[in-house]
Amino acid sequence: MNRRTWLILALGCLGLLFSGAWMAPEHLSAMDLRLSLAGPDLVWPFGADVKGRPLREYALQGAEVVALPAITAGLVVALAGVFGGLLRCVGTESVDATIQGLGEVMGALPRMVVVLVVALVIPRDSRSLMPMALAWAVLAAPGAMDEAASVAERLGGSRFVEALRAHGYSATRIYLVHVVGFNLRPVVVRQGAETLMQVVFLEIALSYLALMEGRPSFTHPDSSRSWADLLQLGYKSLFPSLRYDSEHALWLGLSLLGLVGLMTVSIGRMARAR
Amino acid sequence: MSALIALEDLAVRTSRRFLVDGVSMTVQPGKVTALVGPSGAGKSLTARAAMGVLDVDPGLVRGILRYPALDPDKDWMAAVRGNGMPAQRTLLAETRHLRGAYFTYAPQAASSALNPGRTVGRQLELAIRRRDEPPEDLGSEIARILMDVGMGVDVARALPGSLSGGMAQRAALAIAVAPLPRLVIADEPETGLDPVLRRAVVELLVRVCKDRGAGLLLISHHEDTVERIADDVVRLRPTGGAA
Repeated sequence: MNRRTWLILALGCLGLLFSGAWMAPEHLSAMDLRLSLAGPDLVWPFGADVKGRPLREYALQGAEVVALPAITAGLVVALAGVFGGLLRCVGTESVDATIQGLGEVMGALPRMVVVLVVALVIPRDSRSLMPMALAWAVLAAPGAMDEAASVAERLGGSRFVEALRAHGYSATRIYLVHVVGFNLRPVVVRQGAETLMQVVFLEIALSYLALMEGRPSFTHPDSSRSWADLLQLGYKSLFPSLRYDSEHALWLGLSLLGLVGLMTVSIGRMARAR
Repeated sequence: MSALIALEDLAVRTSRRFLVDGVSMTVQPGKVTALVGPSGAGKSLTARAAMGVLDVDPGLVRGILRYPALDPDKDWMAAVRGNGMPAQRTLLAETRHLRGAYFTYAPQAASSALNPGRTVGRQLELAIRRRDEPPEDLGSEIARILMDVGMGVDVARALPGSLSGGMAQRAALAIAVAPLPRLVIADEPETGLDPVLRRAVVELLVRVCKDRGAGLLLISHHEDTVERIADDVVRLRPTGGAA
């Protein structure tokens, strides 16, 4: 597929995520036990949960929980990558060494443990995915900076800038268009997209953990549902002995994860070199 | 015809030593001028100074730089001598419109000249657009330039990373000549190539420049290459002065 197709796919996925977040209801609909675990034929388009509430609302609320924090984390990582690449092009050894040292320290930290600590530190009334997403982004940023710096290094670092200067390009054009736009873009956009996906999976993992422990979620208020609720509701259908007809929830949960995966791949592919 | 570059008594130094001292050269249209000398003699520095690119502190101590084909009287270094980095930055800005148009530069390693994030065709397109009057049909112009340097049209779609050393040098040469400059400055274009390819690339460079009536300032430390193709030779001593 060409870049334009990937661009359309990426924009489509992002559009779905944000329009879902925008349309998310503040509270779930009223219970209707007659529709318990009803399929998509009765409760259009995704079916209903045990209490007869539409799964569509789960999907929308889940999108609302992850959309902004995931995009923010992705942007933070992408900007950190741009910064790391530009620093290498400027060619200041002391700054390079500092960044590398910082990266090694950050890289040594167990990311999931740090995020769990952040989750536990946040007061229950202020629960949100955003602080954890930012913590994740900060921990991922040195890796992105390092990779972007490697790309800049392969360009020849300051030699590349010198060559472009000799071609008559202004400093702004060299750094913003040639270094960032043409060369760092594929790397930093992919890094940002991967972080976006990681934050979505992080939210699902944390919410699933809370669900299994019977605790309030770390990432959203009790009035909201996450995509983890769909998976938790749906996985029971995998065991016939339980006679739990919730496969529509499982399919919806997996489809949403697939959509996030597709979004990540298409964002990365649309930004590749040309 | 007026000379393209007239550089007189160039002296550039750091706080510790002279990098070049007393270098003079003139580059004529349609002629090959070679700048030769051992490594560290200041060949690249001299060529860059001739383009108005100086970033040494304190930098320019002496020197007169003229582009007689543009303005026979203007000394571009007049306000720079002895005034350090700020004045050199001003010169860099003043001469920016000339780089990539009046003269183009093919750096030592083709990997530095080619942008790995853009196809050869897109880079050629950018270079062609620097002409005073770019052609309407960019596609056929790109094909023509690629053919001039002995490459097929399919190379336009290739990223530099997929080219061999010799092809990368040819692509760098194509980009250097695409804006139709009056002068091409080639900094050791034979670097990293085997002897056969080295000869072919240099001969191609000379042919393409002469076909277009452009001058060529060739930086090299291969005496045999220089003897064979240069109309004028400027030799630099190891200390950076003219021999």
